[in-house]
Amino acid sequence: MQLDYVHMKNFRQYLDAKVEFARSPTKNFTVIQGANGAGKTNLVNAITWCLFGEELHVDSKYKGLPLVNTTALEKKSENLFEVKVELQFTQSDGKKMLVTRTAHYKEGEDGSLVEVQSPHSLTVMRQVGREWTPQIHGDDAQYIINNLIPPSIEEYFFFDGERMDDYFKESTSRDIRSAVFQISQLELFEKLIEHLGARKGSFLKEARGFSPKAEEKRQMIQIHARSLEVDQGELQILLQKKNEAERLEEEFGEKLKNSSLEHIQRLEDERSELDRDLTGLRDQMAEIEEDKLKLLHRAMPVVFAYGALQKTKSMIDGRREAGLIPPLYQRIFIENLLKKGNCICDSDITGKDEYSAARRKKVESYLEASELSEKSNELIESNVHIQKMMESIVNFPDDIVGLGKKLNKTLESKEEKEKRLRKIDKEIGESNVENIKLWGREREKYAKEKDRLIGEIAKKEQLIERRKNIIRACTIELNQELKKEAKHSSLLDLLAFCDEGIKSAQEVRDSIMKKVKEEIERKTSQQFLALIWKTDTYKGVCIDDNYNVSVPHVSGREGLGTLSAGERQVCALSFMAALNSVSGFEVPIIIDTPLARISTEPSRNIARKLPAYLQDKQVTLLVTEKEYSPEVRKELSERVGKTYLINVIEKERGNLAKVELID
Amino acid sequence: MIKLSTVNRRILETIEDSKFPKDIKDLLKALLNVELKNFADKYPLYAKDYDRIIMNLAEARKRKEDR
Repeated sequence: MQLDYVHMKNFRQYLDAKVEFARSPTKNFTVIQGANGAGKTNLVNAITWCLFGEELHVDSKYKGLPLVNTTALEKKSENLFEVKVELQFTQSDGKKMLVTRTAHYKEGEDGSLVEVQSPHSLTVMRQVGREWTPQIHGDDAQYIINNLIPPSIEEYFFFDGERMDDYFKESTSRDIRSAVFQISQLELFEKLIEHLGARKGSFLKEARGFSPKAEEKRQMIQIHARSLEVDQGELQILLQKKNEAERLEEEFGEKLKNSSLEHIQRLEDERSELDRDLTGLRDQMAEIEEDKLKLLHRAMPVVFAYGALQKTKSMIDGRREAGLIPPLYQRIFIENLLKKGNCICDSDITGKDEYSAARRKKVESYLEASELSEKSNELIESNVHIQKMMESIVNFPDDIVGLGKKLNKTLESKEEKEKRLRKIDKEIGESNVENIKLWGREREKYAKEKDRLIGEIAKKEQLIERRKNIIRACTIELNQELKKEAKHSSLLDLLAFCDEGIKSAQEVRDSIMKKVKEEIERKTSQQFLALIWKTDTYKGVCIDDNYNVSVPHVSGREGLGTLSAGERQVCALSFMAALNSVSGFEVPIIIDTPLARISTEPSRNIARKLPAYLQDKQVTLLVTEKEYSPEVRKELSERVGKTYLINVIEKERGNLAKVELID
Repeated sequence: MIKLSTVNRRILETIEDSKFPKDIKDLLKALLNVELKNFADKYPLYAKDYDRIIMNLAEARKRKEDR
């Protein structure tokens, strides 16, 4: 990548200055000559400010001061002042890139300048084909710039020659190492290794939390599964035994049910009951017999005399109907009438007169009739008896049949009970008490066995259930452990991968470090020996494993401490150039006052040798008149494409400079 | 925020020229890019990016081995 030009407007001394840089492969040097304080360093600062927003080589007298050109302030026509630096590069692919940074200031109430923030202070435009991309602003623009020129290694491209003298005086081995690390980006590798180690530690910690116990759980499940199998087998045997005991218990129970003492007792009880029933039935039959007999006794005379009685009754009823049986006058009644002398019709029957005597006589005649009446009365009474007697046997047939039926029913019941009684007697008679006792004992034995087996089965079932629960729990745990195992395995893979990554990164880092260090050492030494004017004085420049720099004298003693200021500057310049060459970045080199501390002859030597070491680089040298002596100019002439002169227009105030192309 | 966007060519060449397996080369390059991205951060939050890259590559390796 080459720098085409820098265009500064209102930046420090530069009101409006444009410097175009030499870009020819053969004339790759640009020389910008200017007196001390003319603005050489600020030209470098214009470039670093444009690229990174910072003046990285700012002189102490400018620190904190606004960038704006003071002359511009005096010539102000408006309140807002713009500072602008524009850089154009040609990239390795030939495409252009334009970087512009602006800053705006306005005058505050107290007359001081206040920067006005602008969102588009930085813009980048890139050439695509013949066109330019739209402006890219802010972080995106900065990203593109950093992509091309990392700010962390900027100082190895934009050297400050004045400071180089002190470089090896001030820099420790750690700084040197840091420089090597920065330029070769090994810092990235250091961080990568550190962070990869931290991730490995994190995975390791996580893996410890996942120490798998799957095998343990698997074995536990197997043990319980085998035990469960045995238990289930035993349970089946117990169930069979229980069923057998139950069957035997039922069998003996059945025998006992039919032949047990209790059964006999029940039979005895039944027999007693039957006996009682039979006694009752017999009594009942006797009563029926007696009733029947009584009925016969009572009814038989009437039955036997029923025909005669019926005939007599018929005859009496016939006479009565025929009126042959007189009214029923009682003698005493007539005698009372006669005694009272008063008839029932209240007529006088005392006989005191004729009529009365007639009536009396008539009544007395009834006394004679009363004898017949007595007999009639008897007949009537007898008829009543006959009637009653005949009525008394009206129900006889039904009664006698009813009693007969009742008797038969009772007899049947009696016979049935007698039959059952005989059966019971037979059964009781046939029962073997010893067997019953044996069966009882057997039934009891099997009942106890069954109960024991039920207990055993319950225990076994509980055990089986417990085992199943354990297996279930272990299976869940196993699944969790398997997940853990998978996770653990995955973490182990990650750990192994991290380990391999760390080792590889360390190997790459060490390899690069070694190569870079060796290359820097070789190039520094080579350049130093080429640029130094005291030939055959030093062996070269050495950088040991701890990045201690030494310049061994040919005599063998260390010479770094005794190097002159110029020699130190050459040494640092060689080191910087070496760093630059190994950086891998194609960035133009700008060296500010490279020969300030070096006397004429050595400067000439450097001027002669330097182009060879910076052959492929675009180089800009910012020199004083003294540095750019005719000898130096002569030595560089073949490689210098452009020469500028910075003229301080207002020398007294030093606030305005112009850059003129002089060659 | 200052960012680095390009890994030094020398580093990439050294990685490429090494005899490491391809996935390790990829790991180093990917992690370098993370470091580039976080270059200017004093306390970069790298763990998530690292884990993602490590896991992806380690799982890919595992799958390849399983096949």
